[in-house]
Amino acid sequence: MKSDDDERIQKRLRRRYRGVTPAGSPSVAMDSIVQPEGVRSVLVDEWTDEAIGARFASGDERALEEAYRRWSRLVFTVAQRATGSPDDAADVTQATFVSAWRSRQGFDANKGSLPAWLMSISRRRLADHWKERSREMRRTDAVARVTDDPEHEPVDGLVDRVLLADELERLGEPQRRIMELAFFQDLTHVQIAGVLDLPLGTVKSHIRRFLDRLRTRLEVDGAAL
Amino acid sequence: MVQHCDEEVLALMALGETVDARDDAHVQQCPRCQSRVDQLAAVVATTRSLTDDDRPVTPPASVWSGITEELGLADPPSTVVSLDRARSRRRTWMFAAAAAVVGIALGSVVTVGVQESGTQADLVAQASLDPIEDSGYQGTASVETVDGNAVLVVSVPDLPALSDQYYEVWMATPDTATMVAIGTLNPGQEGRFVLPTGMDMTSFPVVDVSVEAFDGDAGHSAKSVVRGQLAT
Repeated sequence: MKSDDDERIQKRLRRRYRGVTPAGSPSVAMDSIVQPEGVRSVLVDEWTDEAIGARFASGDERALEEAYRRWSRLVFTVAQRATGSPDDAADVTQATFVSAWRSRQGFDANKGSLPAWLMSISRRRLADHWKERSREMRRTDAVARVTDDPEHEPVDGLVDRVLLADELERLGEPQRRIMELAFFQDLTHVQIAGVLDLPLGTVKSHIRRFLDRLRTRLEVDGAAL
Repeated sequence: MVQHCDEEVLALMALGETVDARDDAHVQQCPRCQSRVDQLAAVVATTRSLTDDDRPVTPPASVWSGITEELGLADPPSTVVSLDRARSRRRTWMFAAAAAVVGIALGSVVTVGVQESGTQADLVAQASLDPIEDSGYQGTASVETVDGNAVLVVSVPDLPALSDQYYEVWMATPDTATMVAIGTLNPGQEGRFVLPTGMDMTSFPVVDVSVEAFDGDAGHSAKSVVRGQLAT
Protein backbone atom coordinates (compact mmCIF):
# COMPACT_ATOMS: atom_id res chain seq x y z
CA MET A 1 0.00 0.00 0.00
CA LYS A 2 2.81 2.35 0.89
CA SER A 3 4.54 1.72 -2.40
CA ASP A 4 1.32 2.45 -4.29
CA ASP A 5 1.11 5.79 -2.56
CA ASP A 6 4.73 6.50 -3.32
CA GLU A 7 4.20 5.69 -6.96
CA ARG A 8 1.15 7.92 -7.11
CA ILE A 9 2.99 10.84 -5.51
CA GLN A 10 5.94 10.22 -7.72
CA LYS A 11 3.83 10.35 -10.85
CA ARG A 12 2.10 13.51 -9.77
CA LEU A 13 5.31 15.28 -8.92
CA ARG A 14 6.98 14.11 -12.08
CA ARG A 15 4.24 15.67 -14.07
CA ARG A 16 4.39 18.82 -12.02
CA TYR A 17 8.10 19.23 -12.23
CA ARG A 18 8.67 17.95 -15.71
CA GLY A 19 10.71 20.50 -17.52
CA VAL A 20 10.07 23.42 -15.22
CA THR A 21 13.62 24.09 -14.17
CA PRO A 22 14.78 26.74 -16.59
CA ALA A 23 18.38 27.72 -16.41
CA GLY A 24 18.91 30.40 -13.87
CA SER A 25 16.17 29.28 -11.52
CA PRO A 26 17.18 29.40 -7.88
CA SER A 27 19.16 26.39 -6.91
CA VAL A 28 17.74 23.87 -4.48
CA ALA A 29 19.77 23.04 -1.42
CA MET A 30 20.12 19.38 -2.30
CA ASP A 31 21.38 18.23 1.04
CA SER A 32 18.39 19.63 2.82
CA ILE A 33 16.08 17.23 1.00
CA VAL A 34 15.20 14.12 2.90
CA GLN A 35 15.17 11.26 0.49
CA PRO A 36 12.61 8.53 1.19
CA GLU A 37 13.05 5.24 -0.55
CA GLY A 38 11.41 4.81 -3.89
CA VAL A 39 10.98 8.45 -4.86
CA ARG A 40 14.48 9.16 -6.07
CA SER A 41 13.43 10.35 -9.48
CA VAL A 42 11.12 12.95 -7.97
CA LEU A 43 14.10 14.55 -6.31
CA VAL A 44 16.16 14.26 -9.45
CA ASP A 45 13.36 16.10 -11.27
CA GLU A 46 13.71 18.93 -8.79
CA TRP A 47 17.40 19.36 -9.43
CA THR A 48 18.23 22.62 -11.06
CA ASP A 49 20.39 22.55 -14.16
CA GLU A 50 23.20 23.94 -12.01
CA ALA A 51 22.83 21.17 -9.43
CA ILE A 52 23.04 18.56 -12.18
CA GLY A 53 26.17 20.20 -13.55
CA ALA A 54 27.88 20.11 -10.16
CA ARG A 55 26.92 16.49 -9.56
CA PHE A 56 27.88 15.52 -13.08
CA ALA A 57 31.36 16.98 -12.64
CA SER A 58 31.79 15.16 -9.34
CA GLY A 59 30.94 11.80 -10.94
CA ASP A 60 27.36 11.19 -9.69
CA GLU A 61 25.88 8.68 -12.16
CA ARG A 62 22.35 9.88 -11.42
CA ALA A 63 23.39 13.26 -12.82
CA LEU A 64 24.48 11.57 -16.05
CA GLU A 65 21.10 9.88 -16.28
CA GLU A 66 19.28 13.12 -15.56
CA ALA A 67 21.46 15.07 -17.99
CA TYR A 68 20.58 12.48 -20.61
CA ARG A 69 16.90 12.76 -19.78
CA ARG A 70 16.89 16.56 -20.09
CA TRP A 71 19.26 17.14 -22.99
CA SER A 72 19.55 14.02 -25.13
CA ARG A 73 16.60 15.27 -27.20
CA LEU A 74 18.49 18.48 -27.94
CA VAL A 75 21.72 16.66 -28.86
CA PHE A 76 19.90 14.04 -30.91
CA THR A 77 17.62 16.44 -32.76
CA VAL A 78 20.43 18.81 -33.72
CA ALA A 79 22.54 15.84 -34.87
CA GLN A 80 19.66 14.49 -36.89
CA ARG A 81 19.09 17.86 -38.53
CA ALA A 82 22.81 18.21 -39.23
CA THR A 83 23.42 14.70 -40.57
CA GLY A 84 19.99 13.99 -42.03
CA SER A 85 20.12 10.49 -40.64
CA PRO A 86 18.54 9.09 -37.45
CA ASP A 87 21.18 6.33 -37.29
CA ASP A 88 24.07 8.77 -37.53
CA ALA A 89 22.35 11.02 -35.01
CA ALA A 90 22.06 8.08 -32.59
CA ASP A 91 25.81 7.42 -32.97
CA VAL A 92 26.69 11.07 -32.43
CA THR A 93 24.41 11.27 -29.37
CA GLN A 94 25.95 8.19 -27.81
CA ALA A 95 29.49 9.44 -28.54
CA THR A 96 28.61 12.85 -27.06
CA PHE A 97 27.41 11.52 -23.70
CA VAL A 98 30.22 8.98 -23.50
CA SER A 99 32.90 11.66 -24.08
CA ALA A 100 31.12 14.08 -21.76
CA TRP A 101 31.16 11.53 -18.95
CA ARG A 102 34.75 10.55 -19.53
CA SER A 103 35.91 14.16 -19.54
CA ARG A 104 33.48 15.31 -16.84
CA GLN A 105 36.26 16.86 -14.75
CA GLY A 106 36.75 19.31 -17.59
CA PHE A 107 33.28 20.75 -17.10
CA ASP A 108 33.58 24.21 -15.56
CA ALA A 109 30.30 25.70 -14.41
CA ASN A 110 31.89 29.15 -14.43
CA LYS A 111 32.33 28.98 -18.19
CA GLY A 112 28.82 27.91 -19.10
CA SER A 113 25.86 25.64 -18.48
CA LEU A 114 26.00 21.84 -18.72
CA PRO A 115 23.77 21.73 -21.84
CA ALA A 116 25.97 24.35 -23.53
CA TRP A 117 29.00 22.19 -22.70
CA LEU A 118 27.27 19.05 -23.98
CA MET A 119 26.49 20.85 -27.22
CA SER A 120 30.12 21.91 -27.63
CA ILE A 121 31.11 18.24 -27.26
CA SER A 122 28.44 17.18 -29.71
CA ARG A 123 29.82 19.69 -32.26
CA ARG A 124 33.17 17.90 -31.99
CA ARG A 125 31.55 14.48 -32.34
CA LEU A 126 29.68 15.80 -35.39
CA ALA A 127 33.00 16.98 -36.81
CA ASP A 128 34.43 13.48 -36.20
CA HIS A 129 31.43 12.05 -37.96
CA TRP A 130 31.95 14.22 -41.03
CA LYS A 131 35.65 13.48 -41.18
CA GLU A 132 34.92 9.76 -41.04
CA ARG A 133 32.24 10.18 -43.67
CA SER A 134 34.55 12.04 -46.05
CA ARG A 135 37.27 9.41 -45.62
CA GLU A 136 34.73 6.76 -46.58
CA MET A 137 33.66 8.81 -49.57
CA ARG A 138 37.23 9.22 -50.76
CA ARG A 139 37.80 5.49 -50.50
CA THR A 140 34.71 4.67 -52.47
CA ASP A 141 34.51 7.60 -54.82
CA ALA A 142 37.55 9.31 -56.26
CA VAL A 143 35.64 12.47 -57.12
CA ALA A 144 33.83 12.86 -53.84
CA ARG A 145 33.12 16.50 -53.19
CA VAL A 146 32.57 16.24 -49.48
CA THR A 147 34.96 18.56 -47.71
CA ASP A 148 36.83 17.98 -44.50
CA ASP A 149 35.46 21.18 -43.13
CA PRO A 150 33.49 20.33 -39.98
CA GLU A 151 31.89 23.78 -40.01
CA HIS A 152 29.89 23.23 -43.13
CA GLU A 153 26.65 22.84 -41.23
CA PRO A 154 25.24 25.84 -39.37
CA VAL A 155 24.97 23.98 -36.07
CA ASP A 156 24.57 27.11 -33.93
CA GLY A 157 21.39 28.09 -35.74
CA LEU A 158 20.03 24.57 -35.35
CA VAL A 159 20.74 24.58 -31.62
CA ASP A 160 18.80 27.81 -31.16
CA ARG A 161 15.85 26.51 -33.12
CA VAL A 162 15.60 23.26 -31.20
CA LEU A 163 16.07 25.08 -27.86
CA LEU A 164 13.21 27.43 -28.70
CA ALA A 165 10.93 24.61 -29.84
CA ASP A 166 11.77 22.73 -26.64
CA GLU A 167 10.94 25.76 -24.49
CA LEU A 168 7.59 26.15 -26.25
CA GLU A 169 6.69 22.52 -25.69
CA ARG A 170 7.35 22.89 -21.97
CA LEU A 171 4.75 25.62 -21.58
CA GLY A 172 1.69 24.97 -19.46
CA GLU A 173 -1.68 26.67 -19.79
CA PRO A 174 -2.67 29.41 -20.19
CA GLN A 175 0.80 30.53 -21.31
CA ARG A 176 0.79 28.06 -24.18
CA ARG A 177 -2.43 29.35 -25.66
CA ILE A 178 -1.35 32.95 -25.17
CA MET A 179 1.97 32.40 -26.91
CA GLU A 180 0.44 30.33 -29.72
CA LEU A 181 -1.84 33.23 -30.52
CA ALA A 182 0.91 35.84 -30.18
CA PHE A 183 3.53 34.01 -32.23
CA PHE A 184 1.65 32.02 -34.80
CA GLN A 185 -1.70 33.73 -35.23
CA ASP A 186 -0.25 37.24 -34.94
CA LEU A 187 -2.91 38.44 -32.56
CA THR A 188 -2.27 41.54 -30.47
CA HIS A 189 -2.34 41.25 -26.70
CA VAL A 190 -5.70 43.02 -26.70
CA GLN A 191 -7.13 40.44 -29.12
CA ILE A 192 -5.64 37.58 -27.09
CA ALA A 193 -7.21 38.91 -23.91
CA GLY A 194 -10.54 39.01 -25.74
CA VAL A 195 -10.28 35.53 -27.21
CA LEU A 196 -9.20 33.89 -23.96
CA ASP A 197 -11.25 36.17 -21.72
CA LEU A 198 -8.21 37.02 -19.61
CA PRO A 199 -7.25 40.38 -18.07
CA LEU A 200 -4.95 42.47 -20.29
CA GLY A 201 -2.35 42.70 -17.55
CA THR A 202 -2.15 38.92 -17.25
CA VAL A 203 -1.60 38.50 -20.97
CA LYS A 204 1.06 41.22 -21.06
CA SER A 205 2.96 39.83 -18.12
CA HIS A 206 2.93 36.26 -19.52
CA ILE A 207 4.27 37.56 -22.83
CA ARG A 208 7.01 39.60 -21.16
CA ARG A 209 8.10 36.71 -18.91
CA PHE A 210 8.10 34.12 -21.65
CA LEU A 211 10.07 36.21 -24.14
CA ASP A 212 12.59 36.88 -21.43
CA ARG A 213 12.82 33.17 -20.67
CA LEU A 214 13.42 32.32 -24.33
CA ARG A 215 16.15 34.95 -24.54
CA THR A 216 17.83 33.62 -21.38
CA ARG A 217 17.64 30.03 -22.57
CA LEU A 218 19.41 30.96 -25.82
CA GLU A 219 22.02 32.94 -23.95
CA VAL A 220 22.73 30.26 -21.36
CA ASP A 221 22.21 26.96 -23.16
CA GLY A 222 22.74 28.11 -26.74
CA ALA A 223 26.07 29.75 -26.01
CA ALA A 224 28.97 28.40 -28.04
CA LEU A 225 31.65 27.37 -25.53
CA MET B 1 16.65 60.77 -14.90
CA VAL B 2 15.53 59.01 -18.03
CA GLN B 3 12.28 57.14 -17.73
CA HIS B 4 12.83 53.88 -19.63
CA CYS B 5 9.99 51.94 -21.18
CA ASP B 6 8.23 49.24 -19.23
CA GLU B 7 9.61 45.76 -20.00
CA GLU B 8 6.12 44.64 -21.01
CA VAL B 9 5.93 47.39 -23.60
CA LEU B 10 9.33 46.40 -25.01
CA ALA B 11 8.16 42.78 -25.28
CA LEU B 12 5.05 43.86 -27.20
CA MET B 13 7.17 45.96 -29.55
CA ALA B 14 9.39 42.94 -30.18
CA LEU B 15 6.27 41.05 -31.26
CA GLY B 16 5.52 43.83 -33.70
CA GLU B 17 2.66 45.48 -31.86
CA THR B 18 2.02 49.17 -32.19
CA VAL B 19 2.54 50.92 -28.89
CA ASP B 20 1.92 54.31 -27.37
CA ALA B 21 3.58 57.14 -29.37
CA ARG B 22 5.55 58.26 -26.31
CA ASP B 23 7.04 54.77 -25.82
CA ASP B 24 7.80 54.58 -29.49
CA ALA B 25 9.60 57.93 -29.44
CA HIS B 26 11.59 56.94 -26.37
CA VAL B 27 12.83 53.70 -27.91
CA GLN B 28 13.88 55.60 -31.05
CA GLN B 29 16.40 57.61 -29.07
CA CYS B 30 17.30 55.26 -26.19
CA PRO B 31 20.07 52.75 -27.00
CA ARG B 32 19.26 50.64 -23.92
CA CYS B 33 15.58 50.14 -24.75
CA GLN B 34 16.33 49.79 -28.46
CA SER B 35 18.78 47.01 -27.77
CA ARG B 36 16.27 45.20 -25.52
CA VAL B 37 13.70 45.31 -28.31
CA ASP B 38 16.26 44.11 -30.87
CA GLN B 39 17.29 41.14 -28.71
CA LEU B 40 13.71 40.06 -28.10
CA ALA B 41 12.73 40.67 -31.72
CA ALA B 42 15.49 38.31 -32.85
CA VAL B 43 14.09 35.63 -30.54
CA VAL B 44 10.58 36.29 -31.87
CA ALA B 45 11.74 36.07 -35.49
CA THR B 46 13.44 32.71 -34.95
CA THR B 47 10.47 31.38 -33.01
CA ARG B 48 8.06 32.41 -35.75
CA SER B 49 10.18 30.59 -38.31
CA LEU B 50 10.10 27.26 -36.44
CA THR B 51 8.77 24.27 -38.28
CA ASP B 52 7.85 20.73 -37.29
CA ASP B 53 11.44 19.70 -38.06
CA ASP B 54 12.66 21.77 -35.13
CA ARG B 55 10.65 19.84 -32.57
CA PRO B 56 12.91 17.96 -30.18
CA VAL B 57 12.87 14.25 -30.97
CA THR B 58 13.58 11.59 -28.37
CA PRO B 59 16.49 9.35 -29.36
CA PRO B 60 15.80 5.61 -29.58
CA ALA B 61 16.20 3.68 -26.31
CA SER B 62 19.23 1.91 -27.78
CA VAL B 63 21.25 5.13 -27.40
CA TRP B 64 20.99 5.17 -23.61
CA SER B 65 21.70 1.45 -23.30
CA GLY B 66 24.67 1.95 -25.65
CA ILE B 67 26.02 4.69 -23.37
CA THR B 68 25.70 2.65 -20.17
CA GLU B 69 27.27 -0.34 -21.92
CA GLU B 70 30.19 1.63 -23.30
CA LEU B 71 30.82 3.28 -19.92
CA GLY B 72 30.34 0.04 -18.01
CA LEU B 73 27.59 1.51 -15.83
CA ALA B 74 24.86 -0.53 -14.18
CA ASP B 75 21.76 -0.63 -16.34
CA PRO B 76 19.68 2.40 -15.50
CA PRO B 77 16.25 2.58 -13.94
CA SER B 78 13.40 2.99 -16.36
CA THR B 79 12.69 6.63 -15.55
CA VAL B 80 14.57 7.79 -18.61
CA VAL B 81 12.20 6.08 -20.96
CA SER B 82 8.93 6.57 -19.14
CA LEU B 83 9.27 10.33 -18.69
CA ASP B 84 10.26 10.99 -22.24
CA ARG B 85 7.43 8.90 -23.52
CA ALA B 86 4.99 10.81 -21.37
CA ARG B 87 6.33 14.11 -22.65
CA SER B 88 6.23 13.08 -26.26
CA ARG B 89 2.55 12.30 -25.92
CA ARG B 90 1.55 15.72 -24.72
CA ARG B 91 -0.48 17.94 -26.97
CA THR B 92 1.85 19.23 -29.60
CA TRP B 93 2.50 22.85 -30.33
CA MET B 94 0.97 24.36 -33.39
CA PHE B 95 3.72 25.91 -35.45
CA ALA B 96 1.27 26.89 -38.16
CA ALA B 97 2.27 30.41 -39.05
CA ALA B 98 -0.30 33.15 -39.38
CA ALA B 99 -3.25 31.17 -40.61
CA ALA B 100 -6.09 33.58 -41.03
CA VAL B 101 -8.89 31.27 -42.01
CA VAL B 102 -10.47 29.01 -39.45
CA GLY B 103 -11.76 25.75 -40.78
CA ILE B 104 -15.25 25.90 -39.53
CA ALA B 105 -17.71 24.27 -41.81
CA LEU B 106 -20.72 24.67 -39.61
CA GLY B 107 -23.84 26.51 -40.73
CA SER B 108 -24.99 30.02 -40.19
CA VAL B 109 -23.40 32.56 -37.95
CA VAL B 110 -25.28 34.46 -35.29
CA THR B 111 -23.75 37.44 -33.57
CA VAL B 112 -24.11 36.88 -29.87
CA GLY B 113 -22.51 39.90 -28.40
CA VAL B 114 -19.63 42.18 -27.96
CA GLN B 115 -17.05 41.21 -25.42
CA GLU B 116 -15.33 43.40 -22.88
CA SER B 117 -12.36 44.05 -25.10
CA GLY B 118 -14.52 45.23 -27.93
CA THR B 119 -13.95 42.18 -30.11
CA GLN B 120 -16.99 40.53 -31.52
CA ALA B 121 -17.99 36.95 -30.85
CA ASP B 122 -20.09 34.99 -33.32
CA LEU B 123 -21.87 31.83 -32.22
CA VAL B 124 -21.48 29.02 -34.73
CA ALA B 125 -22.57 25.91 -32.85
CA GLN B 126 -23.77 24.79 -29.48
CA ALA B 127 -24.50 21.67 -27.47
CA SER B 128 -25.96 20.67 -24.17
CA LEU B 129 -23.68 18.35 -22.26
CA ASP B 130 -25.55 15.50 -20.65
CA PRO B 131 -24.52 13.31 -17.73
CA ILE B 132 -22.63 10.10 -18.49
CA GLU B 133 -23.48 7.06 -16.40
CA ASP B 134 -25.63 9.04 -13.97
CA SER B 135 -22.80 11.41 -13.08
CA GLY B 136 -25.55 13.90 -12.34
CA TYR B 137 -23.72 16.84 -13.91
CA GLN B 138 -24.93 18.91 -16.77
CA GLY B 139 -23.39 21.63 -18.85
CA THR B 140 -23.20 23.52 -22.09
CA ALA B 141 -20.70 23.89 -24.88
CA SER B 142 -20.57 26.38 -27.71
CA VAL B 143 -18.22 27.36 -30.48
CA GLU B 144 -17.75 31.03 -31.24
CA THR B 145 -15.54 32.79 -33.70
CA VAL B 146 -13.60 35.61 -32.11
CA ASP B 147 -11.38 37.62 -34.44
CA GLY B 148 -11.27 34.74 -36.89
CA ASN B 149 -10.44 32.13 -34.26
CA ALA B 150 -12.78 29.29 -33.36
CA VAL B 151 -13.21 29.25 -29.59
CA LEU B 152 -14.83 26.38 -27.72
CA VAL B 153 -16.55 27.52 -24.54
CA VAL B 154 -17.40 24.81 -22.02
CA SER B 155 -19.32 25.24 -18.81
CA VAL B 156 -20.29 22.52 -16.34
CA PRO B 157 -21.39 24.53 -13.31
CA ASP B 158 -21.63 21.91 -10.59
CA LEU B 159 -18.41 19.96 -11.11
CA PRO B 160 -16.84 19.23 -7.72
CA ALA B 161 -13.18 19.98 -7.04
CA LEU B 162 -11.00 16.88 -7.21
CA SER B 163 -8.05 16.32 -4.92
CA ASP B 164 -5.63 14.43 -7.15
CA GLN B 165 -7.40 14.33 -10.48
CA TYR B 166 -8.55 16.94 -12.97
CA TYR B 167 -11.06 17.51 -15.75
CA GLU B 168 -10.10 17.50 -19.39
CA VAL B 169 -12.11 18.65 -22.40
CA TRP B 170 -12.05 16.59 -25.59
CA MET B 171 -13.56 16.82 -29.07
CA ALA B 172 -14.36 13.52 -30.69
CA THR B 173 -15.77 11.86 -33.76
CA PRO B 174 -19.44 10.82 -33.43
CA ASP B 175 -18.37 7.24 -32.56
CA THR B 176 -15.82 8.69 -30.06
CA ALA B 177 -13.18 6.45 -31.62
CA THR B 178 -10.90 9.43 -32.32
CA MET B 179 -10.49 12.16 -29.74
CA VAL B 180 -8.55 15.41 -29.67
CA ALA B 181 -7.46 16.73 -26.26
CA ILE B 182 -8.55 20.36 -26.05
CA GLY B 183 -7.55 21.45 -22.56
CA THR B 184 -8.08 21.48 -18.83
CA LEU B 185 -11.36 22.53 -17.25
CA ASN B 186 -11.19 23.76 -13.67
CA PRO B 187 -14.27 23.28 -11.47
CA GLY B 188 -16.31 26.42 -11.00
CA GLN B 189 -14.85 28.05 -14.09
CA GLU B 190 -15.89 28.43 -17.67
CA GLY B 191 -13.33 26.88 -20.01
CA ARG B 192 -12.39 28.81 -23.16
CA PHE B 193 -10.22 27.03 -25.72
CA VAL B 194 -8.98 28.32 -29.04
CA LEU B 195 -9.36 25.42 -31.46
CA PRO B 196 -6.51 24.43 -33.74
CA THR B 197 -6.58 26.34 -36.98
CA GLY B 198 -7.81 24.09 -39.74
CA MET B 199 -9.53 21.62 -37.43
CA ASP B 200 -12.65 20.38 -39.19
CA MET B 201 -15.29 20.59 -36.51
CA THR B 202 -17.80 18.62 -38.50
CA SER B 203 -15.49 15.62 -38.04
CA PHE B 204 -15.24 16.19 -34.29
CA PRO B 205 -18.68 17.36 -33.22
CA VAL B 206 -18.74 15.56 -29.86
CA VAL B 207 -17.64 17.53 -26.78
CA ASP B 208 -16.64 15.36 -23.84
CA VAL B 209 -15.36 16.12 -20.35
CA SER B 210 -13.39 13.41 -18.58
CA VAL B 211 -11.71 12.86 -15.23
CA GLU B 212 -7.97 12.35 -15.63
CA ALA B 213 -5.25 11.31 -13.22
CA PHE B 214 -1.88 13.05 -12.99
CA ASP B 215 -0.20 10.00 -14.43
CA GLY B 216 1.53 11.42 -17.49
CA ASP B 217 -0.73 9.36 -19.72
CA ALA B 218 -2.11 11.72 -22.34
CA GLY B 219 -4.82 9.31 -23.47
CA HIS B 220 -8.50 9.53 -22.46
CA SER B 221 -9.15 7.86 -19.10
CA ALA B 222 -12.51 6.46 -20.31
CA LYS B 223 -14.07 8.17 -17.28
CA SER B 224 -16.38 10.78 -18.79
CA VAL B 225 -18.70 12.94 -16.74
CA VAL B 226 -20.63 14.79 -19.46
CA ARG B 227 -20.89 14.64 -23.21
CA GLY B 228 -22.89 16.28 -25.99
CA GLN B 229 -22.90 16.86 -29.73
CA LEU B 230 -22.50 20.29 -31.29
CA ALA B 231 -25.24 21.42 -33.63
CA THR B 232 -25.70 24.63 -35.57
